[in-house]
Amino acid sequence: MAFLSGLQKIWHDRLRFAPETLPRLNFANPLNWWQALHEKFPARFKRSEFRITLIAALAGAVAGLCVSIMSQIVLFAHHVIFLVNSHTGISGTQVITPLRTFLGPALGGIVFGLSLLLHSKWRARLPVDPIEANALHGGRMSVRDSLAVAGQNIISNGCGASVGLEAGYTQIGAGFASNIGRYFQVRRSDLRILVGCGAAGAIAAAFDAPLAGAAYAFELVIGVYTIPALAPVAVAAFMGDMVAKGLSHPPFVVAVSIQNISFANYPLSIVLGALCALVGIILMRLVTFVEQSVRQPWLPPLARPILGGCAVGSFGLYSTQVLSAGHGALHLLRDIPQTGLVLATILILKCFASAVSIGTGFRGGLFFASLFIGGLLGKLFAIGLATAGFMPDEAMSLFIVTGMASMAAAVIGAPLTMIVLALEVTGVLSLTGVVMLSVLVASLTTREFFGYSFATWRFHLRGESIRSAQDVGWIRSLTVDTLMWRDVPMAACAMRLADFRTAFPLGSFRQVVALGEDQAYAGLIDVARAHGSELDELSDVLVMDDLTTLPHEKLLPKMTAREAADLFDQANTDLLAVVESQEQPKVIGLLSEAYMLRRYAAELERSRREALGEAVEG
Amino acid sequence: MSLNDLISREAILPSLKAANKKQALQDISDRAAEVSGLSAREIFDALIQRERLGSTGIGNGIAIPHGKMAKCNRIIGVFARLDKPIDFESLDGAPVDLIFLLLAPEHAGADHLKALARIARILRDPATTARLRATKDADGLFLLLTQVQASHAA
Repeated sequence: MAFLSGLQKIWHDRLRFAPETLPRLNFANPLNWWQALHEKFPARFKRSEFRITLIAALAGAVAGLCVSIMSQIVLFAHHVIFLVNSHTGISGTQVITPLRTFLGPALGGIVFGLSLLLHSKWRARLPVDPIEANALHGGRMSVRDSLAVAGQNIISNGCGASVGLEAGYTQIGAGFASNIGRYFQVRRSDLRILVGCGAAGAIAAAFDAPLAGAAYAFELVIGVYTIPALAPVAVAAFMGDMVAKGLSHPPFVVAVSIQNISFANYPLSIVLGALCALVGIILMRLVTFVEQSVRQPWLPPLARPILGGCAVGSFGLYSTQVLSAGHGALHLLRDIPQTGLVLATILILKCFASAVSIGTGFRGGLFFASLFIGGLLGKLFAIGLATAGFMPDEAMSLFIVTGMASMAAAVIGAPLTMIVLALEVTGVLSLTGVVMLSVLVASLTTREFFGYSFATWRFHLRGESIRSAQDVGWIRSLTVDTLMWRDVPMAACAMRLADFRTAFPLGSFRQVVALGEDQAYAGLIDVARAHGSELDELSDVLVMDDLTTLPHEKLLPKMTAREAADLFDQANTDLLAVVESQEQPKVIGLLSEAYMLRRYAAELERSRREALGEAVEG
Repeated sequence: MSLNDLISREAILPSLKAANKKQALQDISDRAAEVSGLSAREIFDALIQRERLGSTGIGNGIAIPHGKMAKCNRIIGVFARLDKPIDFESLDGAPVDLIFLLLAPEHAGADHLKALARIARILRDPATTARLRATKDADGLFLLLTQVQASHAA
């Protein structure tokens, strides 16, 4: 009993809860223990890093489960459509009949087109991907949209279209993570981390690479590395990998045989990195070119993937290596002796197959395609060097891996992820220097000469200004209606100056809104000017209409703070009225530039602190 | 602000014949349109719209109809001396025979008000109004208005 009394004393004295909220507990009663945990712990626990880490573990496990299920469905589809062995995949099998090679993607295009039709009737809006969710929506994602994206990704990859599954993996992993976070009512900043956790779990599971999964989350989905976010993200990546392993998800291993790396390989890796950046930029622009080319009024959206499927099927007739994501083909790259001409043809066809697949609407990304294309380019580079007598043949696998990582870094925009991925999938740490150098050159060159990754390039084409997952959603949610002052002083345009002076003495308000017919906004009246002595003689003649300024400059409730700031600049004023709409100019508020900028600065500071992982209340 | 900047010889109507307020405003609008290059109809509409909010007849037979127009790029004045006074719904109920029209750009702000105040101060001087009423030619009225302005400014 002395022990329980001691606990009770700790409860009451040490924790220092506010007396009015403190339940007087009798710790001898077990029900009171439960009550104490239930009532008091969540509030403290809500801000705990332990709690978010536990939720992240769950999100990572779910992501791993989703990845396993998706990959199994795709393998089954490959087996049914192309009669391929599950270990080699389509791109690693050379015995697919021409009829199946062509008809697989072509019929897949029909099924995919129908899925688009169904989806457009079911959901009108565009699905939000993890980067967009974290940049604009505070980490909020829809599970239904994510399931639809994953389903369309399965159809696309399953039928042989040249798209990877990683986009679907991260979409579904992040989508579930977002909803798990919302179920547990985590804060906005934690929800954004959880979206990253879902993606980390998915990538870790897909490549059996937890470190790469974590790096992917930080670089692409969360947008910044912070120590408080490390534990949740790393745990989610670990859990995703573990669950996938437990469910026998085939491991992704790239076998390399490198004895030693000579100094000559370092400058060569720089050249390869620059080449990867160049091809990566061409690939991204090619996707846009195809997309714009098929966007013709005479070609219905439903027909585009059918056309794309036929084109990809035709490319596949040359080599099945261009089909699907390219897992099998990547594994075979080191082992199959192919001439430079054949490799170059496959590289070009793979680029076209990927561009056509994505450009005609198939769902998926360029993650794996860029790994394979990079591997092809690396092998071609190595063959070229060997032909010129610059390097021994055994260094070929070095440049395959270096090319993979560099191309993926250029296209996906996650250099650290690709460095870590190259090390994790090969298990050879001696690659570090060469891969890092090449990846950095590829990343730097792409950023300098193109400025986008594939994801941000797509946002740019859609008219979105976001360049990363950095949280800018708060800027868009900081709208005029959340900032304006609703208690607005108003005067009719017909009010005589003498009456106005009585109603609004000097010092009562700075500006008064003038109302015209139907109570519509007519301008602003400067109270100090209305009390100017030069108008004394006219106080019985002048009406408020004579004193109005800014009759056309008005804010709308849904304008963002940035748009409002632009209008303040244009109008050269520090106060504007807010009206319901352009068509309905009923005054609903006033907004001063100074107050708006103060709020903007406060939110900016709050966002900065959240990004750095500092505790922010509320 | 100098009245020289507001008014020119061409903007003086020395003996306007108008039966009522509407006709007077119409005739002055026509002259303002000639001087400014703006549409007479739009000037008239702006004036009528302003008059609906309250008469600009300031008393003692004087009116200062005015309006702001988006297309107007400078402050423009037109002065009219009526042969026969007309009802202008003035504050004191007295008929009006001296009218000073003022048009201003929509964003004129304080300049518009200062011009109005200046005109009101000049036209409220009984000696000035007596001289204006006694003068029947445009040159004489123009000279009077600009000289009076100079003396008030001194």
